[in-house]
Amino acid sequence: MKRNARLLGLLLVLVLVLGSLPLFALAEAAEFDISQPVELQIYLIGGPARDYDMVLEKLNEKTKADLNATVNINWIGWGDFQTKYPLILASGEPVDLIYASVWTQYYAEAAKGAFLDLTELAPKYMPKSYAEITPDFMQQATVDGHLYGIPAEFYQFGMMGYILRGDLMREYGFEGISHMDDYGVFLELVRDNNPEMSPGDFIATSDSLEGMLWREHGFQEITFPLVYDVREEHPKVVNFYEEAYILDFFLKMKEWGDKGYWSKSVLSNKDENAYASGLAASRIHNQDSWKSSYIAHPEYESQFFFLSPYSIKTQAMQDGMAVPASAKNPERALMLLEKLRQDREYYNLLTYGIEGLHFEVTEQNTLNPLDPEGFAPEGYCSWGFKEHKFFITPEGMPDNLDEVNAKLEEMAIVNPFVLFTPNFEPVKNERAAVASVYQQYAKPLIYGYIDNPEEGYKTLLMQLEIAGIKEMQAELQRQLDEYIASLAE
Amino acid sequence: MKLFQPRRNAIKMPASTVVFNVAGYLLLSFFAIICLLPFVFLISASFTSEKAIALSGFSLIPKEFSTDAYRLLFRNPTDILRAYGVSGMITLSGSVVGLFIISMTAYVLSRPYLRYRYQITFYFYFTTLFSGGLLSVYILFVRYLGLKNNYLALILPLLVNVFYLLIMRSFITAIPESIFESAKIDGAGELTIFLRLVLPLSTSALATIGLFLILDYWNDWYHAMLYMSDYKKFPLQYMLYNLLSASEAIARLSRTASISVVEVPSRAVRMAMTVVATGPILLVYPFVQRYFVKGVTLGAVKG
Amino acid sequence: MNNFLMEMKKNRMLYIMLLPAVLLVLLLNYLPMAGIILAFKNFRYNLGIWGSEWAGLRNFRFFFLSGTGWMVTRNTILYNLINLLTTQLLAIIIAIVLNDIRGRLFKKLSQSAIFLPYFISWIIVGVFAYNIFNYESGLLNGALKALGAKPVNVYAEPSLWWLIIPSFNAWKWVGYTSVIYIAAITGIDPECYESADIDGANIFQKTFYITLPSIRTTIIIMLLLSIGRILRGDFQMFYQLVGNNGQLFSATDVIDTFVFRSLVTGGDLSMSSAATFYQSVLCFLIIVLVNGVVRRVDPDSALF
Repeated sequence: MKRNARLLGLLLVLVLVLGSLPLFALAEAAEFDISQPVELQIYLIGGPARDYDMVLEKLNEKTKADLNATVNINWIGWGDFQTKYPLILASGEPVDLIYASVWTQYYAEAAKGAFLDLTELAPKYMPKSYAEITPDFMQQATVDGHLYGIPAEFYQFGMMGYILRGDLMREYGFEGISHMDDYGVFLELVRDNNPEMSPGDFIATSDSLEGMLWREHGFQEITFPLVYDVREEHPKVVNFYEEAYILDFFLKMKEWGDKGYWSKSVLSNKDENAYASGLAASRIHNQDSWKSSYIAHPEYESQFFFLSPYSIKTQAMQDGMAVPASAKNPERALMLLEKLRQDREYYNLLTYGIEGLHFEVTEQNTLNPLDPEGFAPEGYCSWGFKEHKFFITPEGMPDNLDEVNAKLEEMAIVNPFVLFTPNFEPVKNERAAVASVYQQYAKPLIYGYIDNPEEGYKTLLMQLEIAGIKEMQAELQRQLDEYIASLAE
Repeated sequence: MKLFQPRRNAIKMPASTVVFNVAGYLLLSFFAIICLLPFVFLISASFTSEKAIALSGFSLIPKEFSTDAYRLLFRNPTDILRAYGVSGMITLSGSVVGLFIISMTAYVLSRPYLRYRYQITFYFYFTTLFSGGLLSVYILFVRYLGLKNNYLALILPLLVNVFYLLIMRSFITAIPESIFESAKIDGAGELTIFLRLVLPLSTSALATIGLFLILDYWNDWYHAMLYMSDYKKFPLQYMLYNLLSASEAIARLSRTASISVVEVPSRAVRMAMTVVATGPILLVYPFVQRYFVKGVTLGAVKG
Repeated sequence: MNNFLMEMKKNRMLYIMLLPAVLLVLLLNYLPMAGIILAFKNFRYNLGIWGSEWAGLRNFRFFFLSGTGWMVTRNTILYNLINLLTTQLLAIIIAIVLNDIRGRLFKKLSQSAIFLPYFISWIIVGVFAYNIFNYESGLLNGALKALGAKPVNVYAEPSLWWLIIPSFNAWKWVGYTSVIYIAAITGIDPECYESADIDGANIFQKTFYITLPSIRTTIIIMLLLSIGRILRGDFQMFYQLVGNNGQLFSATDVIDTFVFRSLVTGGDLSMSSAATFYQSVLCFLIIVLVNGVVRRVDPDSALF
């Protein structure tokens, strides 16, 4: 017994001594203790290029020399990131660096304790990149006073709009869209002149005309159908379906549906590629999709029209990288991130591949992909550290791109509520029920399935109420008020 | 009606047998055709150019013959071949071990003199009703068993299938008890009876459950999705599943200008993937069929 | 206690043979069952499953909030019952026919053909279904128009799906299920048939008095196994055939699709655990009841 106690004491002392050693070492060698070789576990979304191993080998030569670390990339497939992404974070599996974005639920995951607080680590281990984060982006990435993710320093003025086939527009002598009804005219022209095509690429999961409607009225989405107008000084959380013009819209959609502007089976259609494969003459999507379809199909001469009264900057955490709470080597992970954002060679490797083999920079300073099958530029989740300073414009962009960009910038307003990230936890049940009601009762109205839209509209309102939209509205209004009050302080 | 007229030397076929055969032929032909047709469409579509599918839908014979879909799939043939290897290895080892454990357990649970057989069966059955959910299983596999990127993570979850266990038990129950009793009198132990009597007497049952296990392992992409992040260890189905599901997700997000450069698989590719993935496993079935011949098993032992 | 030791001693070898399966199930199924409590927790990653605070029944609320919970529970049970009857019945008939029909080659070929649907994933079945049923260019309406009939909008007519879904389900599973019955029939002692032949029994009499009674245990086991899953819907089948088509939900929404749709935005592990737990409890109650009845009537066929 006595001997055991002594042994225990000895062990304790040993643990204390050993435990404090690295601390001393760290204090002395400042931020760069890289004597221990490590393997960094990184999770990205998507799948690797054919030549990704080749690229990674090059990268690892560099990281070995610079950081005494090797990089191991793990992929979360496109089809299962909704299942696997939260699972990896929830399970506490050791991961050093992970792609993070609003569409991977950055704020919800951060609130659940998924990420490591980088407030102190980031300035120490990635000083340059940290200094480059603009104040508004810094604020946006911060949750409850903790910096949980490093946003890519890249933004644009996001906009949803109508993408139309320019070649058809010319053929019909169609001028452009300045009102939703103009789009109806276009759909009719396609129906009458090109019956082999579907006028639009409407499918149940895509953004529909309803999305254009609330954007036209200057709303931003909190969680649909709850929206608010960020131009107001003290905005109200609005149930979009209680707006006066909604019934007229549903009636119009019934009319359009009956006229055959879209398939009567649209709600079960899953063909997402109709526009790209030349089967649809238009689609509703953002300016990025417009650009990409322009590059992929120059012969369509795709045109882009938008009716929203203003544009706002894309969110900071549209793209970013985070260090999970389970990370074993957060310091080295941040040092790698610094390299990726400050060293063009690092950046190019993971973004464009190997120079001369996968890409070259033309004399006009545009990017010419040499082997898109081996490594497609920006194709492999390099968005989390996307940098304006290293970005090379791809070849074949739309002619009027600068014009459109200038217009979007001119229309831009500052969204004072960009930092308002609602906590849905208190109303998660209502939110789930409303999401289900939306699919069941609103979608059929949006596509004119319901023979009697007045009746259908009443049912929708009633079902939303049963699902608890009022409670949700009240709770979100309360949170918004609280946020506004905190701004005043 | 000449077809069914009994020939003079042939054994006379009773009217009921004729009715049975006519009805049987009609039913089976009808059902076989509706099962076969979609597969023919599928193969045909996999050899059709995407443009032709888009414009005129599916057809029995390719409207515009093209091997583009297969060329796209086999763009990197070593990947596909390696994935075939992984799938084959997992299928083989998993189904052999699984079949042995399942049949051995089923034999024990079929013994009427095993006092706790109902309780133990319930112990197994209960797991089909309640499960701890994705997260706790994931934590167990990844953090406690350390099976990330380990082939065992693909083998273990499908090893003891309780449904198969119970079906197997019902097959073994059907074997006359007298056969085992006489063996016992000859001094055979339980393990010997299982190995020497039960296994050879249950070839058709073993073939059935073995077939199901083979199919389960071959078709499983789900566990690979969970536990495999190393591209080189992906089984075939998961690789194909990735391609298959990518287009939907990419379309849903389609965020950056350059994402369109990554190829979005077309309908033809989806069809070709099914053909590539099911190809070898289709050959297993006729092989297993040999064991479904009436009366072979019991007769052999008795004789 | 004494009884227990005696039993262990008497059947020692049998219990040893059980060990691998018992241990595997203990490790892979029972150990993670601790995760069930997630359904009653307000789960935070950094606090872990145990450390997170209790939420009572809060995670279950969304299910009943809009009244949809009852509808989808009803749909799930009804579909499972219809599918169970159609698929099992067809599989048994086909197994019997395949067993007794003349013509070896036909037998082999048709048996292989009916197995094929198993290999076609629901994603692809969904693509085909859309090509058959869509209003404007589907095969069905093409045929109807050619016959001079009025086209139907299958994707806006919920009642039709009570026919369509069981048909697709049978199409996909009959071949697979029939294999089990074929194997069961294979195991029947041929002497039974020989003596029936001597008695002059015809083929239908042999089917009803020998074949069916001999595979009774297998039939009942298959039915019980299906009933044990009566609250679980085949998500892929419903989702790929119907999609997010709200117009059809009154007839096509099952628990699994409803939960998916509700939680796809802002998905919450605790809430999906709650839904799974609800399914498990109902399945458990139903199967214990049904199995109890079977055990009284026919103890050999009971599951446990």
